[in-house]
Amino acid sequence: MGRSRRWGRHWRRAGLTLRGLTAAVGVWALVAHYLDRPLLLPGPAEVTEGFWALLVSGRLVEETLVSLRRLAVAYTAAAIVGVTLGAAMGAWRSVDRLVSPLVNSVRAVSGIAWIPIAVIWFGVSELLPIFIIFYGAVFPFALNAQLGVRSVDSRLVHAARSLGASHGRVALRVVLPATVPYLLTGARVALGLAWMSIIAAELLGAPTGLGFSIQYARMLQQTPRMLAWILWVGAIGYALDAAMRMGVRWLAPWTGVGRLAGAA
Amino acid sequence: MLRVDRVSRLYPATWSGGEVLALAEVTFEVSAGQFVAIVGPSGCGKSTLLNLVAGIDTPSTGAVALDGRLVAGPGPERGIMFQQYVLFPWMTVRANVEFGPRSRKEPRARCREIAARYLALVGLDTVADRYPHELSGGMQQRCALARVLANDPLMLLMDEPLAAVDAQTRSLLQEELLDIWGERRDPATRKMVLYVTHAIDEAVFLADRVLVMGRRPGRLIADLPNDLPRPRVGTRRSARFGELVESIWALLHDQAAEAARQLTEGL
Repeated sequence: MGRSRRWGRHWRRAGLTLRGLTAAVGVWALVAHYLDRPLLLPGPAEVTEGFWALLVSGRLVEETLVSLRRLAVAYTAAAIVGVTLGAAMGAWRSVDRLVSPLVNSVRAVSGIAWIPIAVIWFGVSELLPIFIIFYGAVFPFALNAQLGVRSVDSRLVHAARSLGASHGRVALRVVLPATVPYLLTGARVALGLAWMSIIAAELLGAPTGLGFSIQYARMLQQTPRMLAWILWVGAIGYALDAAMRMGVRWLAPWTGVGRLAGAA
Repeated sequence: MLRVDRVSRLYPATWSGGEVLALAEVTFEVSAGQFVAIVGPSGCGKSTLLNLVAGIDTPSTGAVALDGRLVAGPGPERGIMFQQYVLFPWMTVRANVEFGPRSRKEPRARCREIAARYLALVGLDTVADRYPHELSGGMQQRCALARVLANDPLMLLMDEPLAAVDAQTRSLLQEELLDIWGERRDPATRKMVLYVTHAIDEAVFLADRVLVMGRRPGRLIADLPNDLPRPRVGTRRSARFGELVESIWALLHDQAAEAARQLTEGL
């Protein structure tokens, strides 16, 4: 019975989402129709047509894979550097004092601000978008890792030490899992920022990729295709975030719902 | 034997910039197999004292030694239990109990065996694969006890381990604790226990000796032997039990009143 009720709720929610989307597309169609300037604002039909053309030609998949590959490389690098830096900042006050002012002032500068100088450093190349994504993603990783390490319950560490665990074992089996919820939060925020910065970087500084494709469609004045690319970028961003949330639930089952329901 | 020798602990004061004497020249011994309880009003430094013995904290002056070896940090020969169940929430009950044996690199099968034995001892063998948050408070403390015992420590350090469980469970766990400690067995098989509590009746029910602490500064004001016969089950309503509780309460009354007054003033 519980299961069927839950499914009912799922369907109701899905129904609401669907209605919201339909309404948005409807408004868009109406505005496009009465504006009647397809070069400024093409309607849903033209954009779908443009999308279909891109899909059939294989360009959609091709450019998406280019962007996702850059994302994977830069995101992985940002995770390694950010988590290491953040964990060190969380564990040792001296490291925090040493790098914290620098990190926090650099962090205040949007990644987009670095694009012009990155063009000079790297040229229009593979390295430029990777650098910009890395820049966008590294700070959420670092700051959440720092917060996580600092929030570890010291009694858990004491308990582990008094059970005979070495410092290495405490780090691996106690501090790391206690930090996981923070790391996952950082990873999720970082993914969102990384996806936003990759498009910005490719608009200006890459010869391929989704951002470049938007710019390319603009040069050819193919507004329907521009919009198709833009909506596609949004859809992928949404899918990445959804996958991330599922991953969090799978990786850290002791946090969240189970914890709340079972708290003594 | 545990020796606590003229141990003091100074803390920097939060606001004044001076120093606060949390413990002043505390000296006592716990001999092999003895169950010693420490009672005192809040702020008397009883938890500080336990942390010093545990090696979580370091004395400002004086020294703590267990069987002639100076305490310099936490170690598996001194198992700690806290008031809040500090089980590892990402490990199953079994993995929590195996943590100590795994830390000293026992083979996997041996760890399983040890965990199974102590889980059965505390009556948790049926929930070995559950996670701590799925257990009641009493069961979590049982698990914490099994985890400490799996290390076969020389001594147990317990900081109000039963303060957070309900009254019935507490009485039951007190009896279980004495049983596991070995009050029905040969005294030579018992471990040393240092048990911090604010409940006088709990101290009288459990301990061979009760150390009474006073505050400002935290210090020892009495060291009372407890001549209640073992096993203790059924002694709670005896005249002697009441007398012992009364005598300790007489020592603590003024201290506790002062502590309560300061707490309300501080609000």
